[in-house]
Amino acid sequence: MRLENKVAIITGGASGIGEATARLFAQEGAKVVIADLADRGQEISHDLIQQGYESLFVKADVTNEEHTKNMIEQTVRQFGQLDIMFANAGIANEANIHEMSYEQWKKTMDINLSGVYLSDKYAIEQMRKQGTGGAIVNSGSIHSFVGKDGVTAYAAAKGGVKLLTQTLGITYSKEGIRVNAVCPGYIDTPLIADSPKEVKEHLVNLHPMGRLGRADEVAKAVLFLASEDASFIAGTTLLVDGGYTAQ
Amino acid sequence: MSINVTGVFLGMKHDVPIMAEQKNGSIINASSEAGIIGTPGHVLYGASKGAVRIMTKDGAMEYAQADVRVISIHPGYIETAMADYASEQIGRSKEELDKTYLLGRMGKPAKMVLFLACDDSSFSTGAVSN
Repeated sequence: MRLENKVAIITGGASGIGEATARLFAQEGAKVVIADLADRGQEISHDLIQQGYESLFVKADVTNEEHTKNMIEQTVRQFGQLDIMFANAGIANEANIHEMSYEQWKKTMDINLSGVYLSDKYAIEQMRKQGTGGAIVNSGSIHSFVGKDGVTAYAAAKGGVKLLTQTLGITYSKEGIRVNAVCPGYIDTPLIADSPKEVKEHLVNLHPMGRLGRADEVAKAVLFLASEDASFIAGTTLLVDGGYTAQ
Repeated sequence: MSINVTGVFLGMKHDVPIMAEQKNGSIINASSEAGIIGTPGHVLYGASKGAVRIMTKDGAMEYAQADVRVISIHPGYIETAMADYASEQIGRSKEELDKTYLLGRMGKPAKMVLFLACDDSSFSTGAVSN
């Protein structure tokens, strides 16, 4: 098992990539804290416990500084430490800029970028206090690298996540805290499940592999970055994109 | 160029048809951090590794639908005989090279290649980091 005795927080752990990662981390021996606004996180946590794993659900809004601090405190109170943070919570709420309200822009930036900032900040504070090092995986995207029409606030936020990741990787790797980002292409998750059929087909055709990715395929990349297998990898990005950015 | 680029080309040329026929395969090409960023005194090595990086993307595009994944890796200095040789060539001790990395040491080989070769990376092709 690659995460034996490790304690991991997964924000946005109640669905999609976050849920797949929570389940995979548990199977690999981690004590898993699912942080999410959605109550489904509680069900997943219960399910993991019933399967014999250790888990905790914390209801948290990653844009709220007190919630984020509380998420770390509850984790340490329950499991004694924090080793891994997967800052995964995010939304996709897109429009062209001339049709996008300032409120829409701020909501995406708050969750997708400031939420990562808060999760990383308080995780790093805790890891430094422990002096044990740690691994942080931030949720980037292909849109950390390339734009697409109408992907306005989302791409801006994910571009920010990439450079935040690089900067934190540089700053904290000497203390044994590795900060990296996973950058998926379009994944068949609830974020795009409700899209019309023609939109889904359009998205499929953007990937040279001719399909969307699966949440478990991203979870496995997150596991790699979070584990000791990636012990010389810091401040970088791992693309899981079916060839999207090779074009 | 013959070893670093043509060698990779020939490997892909003869591996890909077999993998495409079996509709499954992973090719991992050895590029380098020198294939992404410039390094003084590395013009030949850097050019060869840059070529590998783009050849990899081309191969990935061509064979993605045949379920053949083609990926390049871009390591820094890794604890190998080649790093010993490079250390002598550029007149910098291994300790000095260790200090050029924020983690304070050179890397160790193999685990990244294993990840990319196995199905854990089944939705990655063409690039793992741009």
